Amino acid sequence: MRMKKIKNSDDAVAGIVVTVLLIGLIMAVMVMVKTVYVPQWIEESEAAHMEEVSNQFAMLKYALDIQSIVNQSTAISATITLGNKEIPFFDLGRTFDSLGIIEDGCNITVKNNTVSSSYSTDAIKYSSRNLHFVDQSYVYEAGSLILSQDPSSILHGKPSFFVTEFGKNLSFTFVNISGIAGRTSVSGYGNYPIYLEVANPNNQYTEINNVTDITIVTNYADAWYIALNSSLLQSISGFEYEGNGVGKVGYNITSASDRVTLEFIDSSGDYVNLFIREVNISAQIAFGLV
Amino acid sequence: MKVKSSNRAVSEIIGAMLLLLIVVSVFSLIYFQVLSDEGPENKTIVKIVGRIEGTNVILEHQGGEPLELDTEISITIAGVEYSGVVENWLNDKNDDGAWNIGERMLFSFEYNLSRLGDYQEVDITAVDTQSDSVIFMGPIDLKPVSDVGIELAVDNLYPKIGEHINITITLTCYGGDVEGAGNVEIKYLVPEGLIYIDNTPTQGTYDNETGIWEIGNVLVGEPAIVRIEVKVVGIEVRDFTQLAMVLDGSGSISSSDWNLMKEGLKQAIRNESVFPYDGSVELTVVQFGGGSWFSNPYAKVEISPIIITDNPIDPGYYMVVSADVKDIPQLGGYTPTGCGIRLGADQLHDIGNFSSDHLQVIVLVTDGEANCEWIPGGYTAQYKGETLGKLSAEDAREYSLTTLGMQEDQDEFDSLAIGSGPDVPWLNSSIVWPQPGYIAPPYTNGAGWVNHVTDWQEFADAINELFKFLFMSITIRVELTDSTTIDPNIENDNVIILITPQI
Repeated sequence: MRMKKIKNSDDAVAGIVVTVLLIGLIMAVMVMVKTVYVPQWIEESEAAHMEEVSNQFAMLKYALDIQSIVNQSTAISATITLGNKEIPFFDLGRTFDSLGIIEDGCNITVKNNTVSSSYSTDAIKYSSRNLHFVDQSYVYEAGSLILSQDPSSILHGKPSFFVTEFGKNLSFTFVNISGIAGRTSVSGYGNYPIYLEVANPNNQYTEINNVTDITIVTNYADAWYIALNSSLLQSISGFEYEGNGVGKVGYNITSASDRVTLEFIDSSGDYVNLFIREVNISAQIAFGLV
Repeated sequence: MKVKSSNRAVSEIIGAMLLLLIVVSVFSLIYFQVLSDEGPENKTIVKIVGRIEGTNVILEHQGGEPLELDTEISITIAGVEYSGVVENWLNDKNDDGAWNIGERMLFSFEYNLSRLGDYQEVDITAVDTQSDSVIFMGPIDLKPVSDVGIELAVDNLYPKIGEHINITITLTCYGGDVEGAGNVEIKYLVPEGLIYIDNTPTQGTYDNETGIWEIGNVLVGEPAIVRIEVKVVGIEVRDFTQLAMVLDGSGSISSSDWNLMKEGLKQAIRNESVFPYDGSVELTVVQFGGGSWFSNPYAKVEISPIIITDNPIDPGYYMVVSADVKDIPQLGGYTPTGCGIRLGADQLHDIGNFSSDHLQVIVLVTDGEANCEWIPGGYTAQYKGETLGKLSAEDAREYSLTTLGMQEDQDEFDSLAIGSGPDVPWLNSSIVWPQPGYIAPPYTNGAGWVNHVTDWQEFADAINELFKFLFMSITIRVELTDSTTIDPNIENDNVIILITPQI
């Protein structure tokens, strides 16, 4: 029998080395893309998602503003997108956000020399759980659209609070959201509709004379400070910031972590008249079986 | 066994080593290229909003990533560039060493009045040094605000025909973002009835052909004044006027006072020095009142719209019409003011020579408060007391404005209030038009007045004065037409004074 001779040869060495190096190169590229590129892509995607939510909340406020003025029983749905879609191929970056109707999120107390009137509303709140972009919350309460981001908040949409008579009368449309029990929160990924229905529509304003203080208890004091001050600070408003109440009605706004207080100063003792209209709207996060 | 010497493998080893060297070199190069990649361009995702408030440039952080205090800002105003880091101008409310949501950067500047034209916009660029990315870029329009006001004075409001009078226009700047107003231009066109003679401005030039006074810059505390001398010649051609006299004939007016009213109106129509007969006036007379337990108060037409002339063969011959006025019987009863106003407006619109180009004037003559609510579908009403009666009258006034399409610069709704009965403040604030109303005489503010006379004895003088004002007066109107600064208070940018020539 003829034995086959095993012959020593190094012909394949270069091929093996090339293969090893190719695998190393591919792995290096993959690692670099995952650690450097993907986080930034995810951050950009999350920022874009925040923009989308911002637009959706702007539409929500628009819908509520329309419902506030039509004085009819109306029902409108507004959709909010929760969660960020993952980056294709790498399958990374999916996030899960939350949307809720916070009970008694905002309380407003109006005082004059004799009585105190209180109004309370729930707040519609979206909270992100981003992986790379800063976490933000969009909140609708009492007609205001607020963007909250640690450590502060800003006003994204003004409430219907304005001067109707130079230095004398104020008007406020208080949108009172009431969440329907059991349908007030959701967390996850996808589009979720908020169903808004006007309850007992009316166009009647309650006149509160000689108002000395308006206190708003809220988690977003910075935003409400802006809301109040921007309405009164204009030269055509007839009010004077930190004025002494002689000639023009003066006002001060003090802010704490959980409240903003608007105080009027008037040496004549007339102060201001507030015409407040309460619009009652029931809200539910309506999806699936209802 | 013979060992055979050979060097054949040497070249293979060298070849393999060279191949490995080439492979390793090539891959090293590729690795170096790949691993030296700095990754994607670093971005700072943040919303910065820029705006101008007064003389401050404001950049506000409106969400997104916090920025370092070494963020570079470049601001160019009127060709001058100001550069620095945001730390110089930031109000770091929470002292966390970062530019965070809600925090503002505020850069103050001042306008140079002599170069106000250069202040068109602010160019701003903000660069985050950490990512070397632009976070804000763009121009923001500059609109400097400065309040100016016009004052107007005439040395004789009741001149005789042929006399010379002086009209003094004063333009004052009260300041604002700028301690003055730039390139101010106002207009005063000498109206018909006056002839331009001369002008003396303290600054700028006045062109009597165009009526434009080009003043230039006006500094705070240094008002610009022009004195314009004119000759009074009186009005020869008038705009066609539809006049509706809406008369209160309610029972609170005694028959003797009713006769005084009729006689006063009759004599005023016959007074050619106050009432023109050139066909430029269409007169309508409406009376409201009446009503009892068995009938509703109402309004009726006493004189249908008719053009007043001095031609005896015309149906509008002033002697005939005035005689008809003297024969109007009093209705008595309640005060359905709203019915009278509605009927007057409908007569002007449906029966008279209505055109929106014609002047429409409604004059409400009353001695008491409206106390009836109009019943839709006619000109009758129900007694409902003063609160609802006034609301009904206010609705009727709105109806007349809408029906006639009344325009503030030519039409008017006025009132002659007699005695202590009428609610003059209500008439002034809710009935006369344009608003705000004023108490006359003098009729210096133009249309929308209440003339309150104490009793019917004064009615004859008041109605003569009224006609003289409506048909014989000359309106002097001065208005701000241009300025490079924005005037936040437009109420003092237009001034009207009426002069009434005496024959």
